[in-house]
Amino acid sequence: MGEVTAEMLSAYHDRELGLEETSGLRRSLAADAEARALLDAFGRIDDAVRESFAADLDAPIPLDLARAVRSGLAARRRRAIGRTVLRWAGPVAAAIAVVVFGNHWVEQRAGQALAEREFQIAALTDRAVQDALENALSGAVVSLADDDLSGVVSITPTRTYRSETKHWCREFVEDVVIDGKHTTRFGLACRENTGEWRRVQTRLPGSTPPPVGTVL
Amino acid sequence: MEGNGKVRRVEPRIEKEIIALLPRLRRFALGLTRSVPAADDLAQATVERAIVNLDKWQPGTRLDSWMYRIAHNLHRNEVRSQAIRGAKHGILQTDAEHAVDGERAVVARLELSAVSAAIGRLPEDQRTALLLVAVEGRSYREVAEITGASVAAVTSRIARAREVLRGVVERSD
Repeated sequence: MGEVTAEMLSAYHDRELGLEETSGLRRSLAADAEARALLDAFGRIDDAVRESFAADLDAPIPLDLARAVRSGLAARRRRAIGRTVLRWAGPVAAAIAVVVFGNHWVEQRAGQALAEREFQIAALTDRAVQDALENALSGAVVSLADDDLSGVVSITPTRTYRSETKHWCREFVEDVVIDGKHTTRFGLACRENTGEWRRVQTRLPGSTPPPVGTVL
Repeated sequence: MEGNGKVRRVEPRIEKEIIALLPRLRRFALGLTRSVPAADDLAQATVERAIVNLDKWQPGTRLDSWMYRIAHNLHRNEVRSQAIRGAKHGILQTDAEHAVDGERAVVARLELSAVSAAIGRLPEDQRTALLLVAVEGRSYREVAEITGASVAAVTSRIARAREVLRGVVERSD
């Protein structure tokens, strides 16, 4: 392989040489079997490299990563709006904040007793969601009952699809009966690589469903 | 740019664009770190940094290249501070011990073929350059811009990487 270096061949392979260098190299290649063999090898190497990286594109990205995009952009918008508002209404906004946060503190104290129960209902609901979405066909209902709460949570998966972020996502109906009080909501959850179903949307009957495929 | 209404018009498109490039960004991060958890952390940090600094991106230029450059810089800084802390150890091996299913699958795949293993052993700058050129079809100039190296350095990194891999490919043929 006379004056032809591996570096020149590699650059030629990537079409990175200038016109003059290219034609010079082609002349050398015609007389240099060893260089031709190396050039062939570069082609096979690239195929192998592409193959080794190909599967990485098919794995669904973590939901947190996809959500970081939307929440990051939303935070940007809030900052932009916040700056505009504060320019003309700074003192007023500060006064409102005192009132709002004052109220919030009182409500928080009163709500503490309820919070524990809410937490238990949410935990029961999540168990039913994980079970139903992982194991039940669309249309089949999975119900979990908790005697301490005197409640039953029923989850019915209704639709399954791949999202634009390549996650498996399922829509479902959530029926919760606690102390005889009945609540129906619609949910959407997507499956993380870890196998956990992450709820990405909850809506009440009558509200507009999200467009199919949007996950965030 | 912010606060004059322009941002809001542009953002839905930006959001779609960023979402669309996430799998490739993650693959690029995996090429840099060779560890799934580290790659996910890097991709996440890149997205956050990019969105905060969106004003610095020039519309009309490639958004993916700009984000790759951010990822590359973040990774550089991380490697540097790890070296300072003396915490440099076999990342792939350590993470494999704690790997959950998805990660284990990726790690297993990395080890599956001799070529993938050899790619993993390449010096990081060679691996990154080869990924960008052979897989993404980038020009040497683009690689130089993303990695902050000269075109001459990129040219020699790619040639060296291919020379190393030649032995492996020809043995497995």
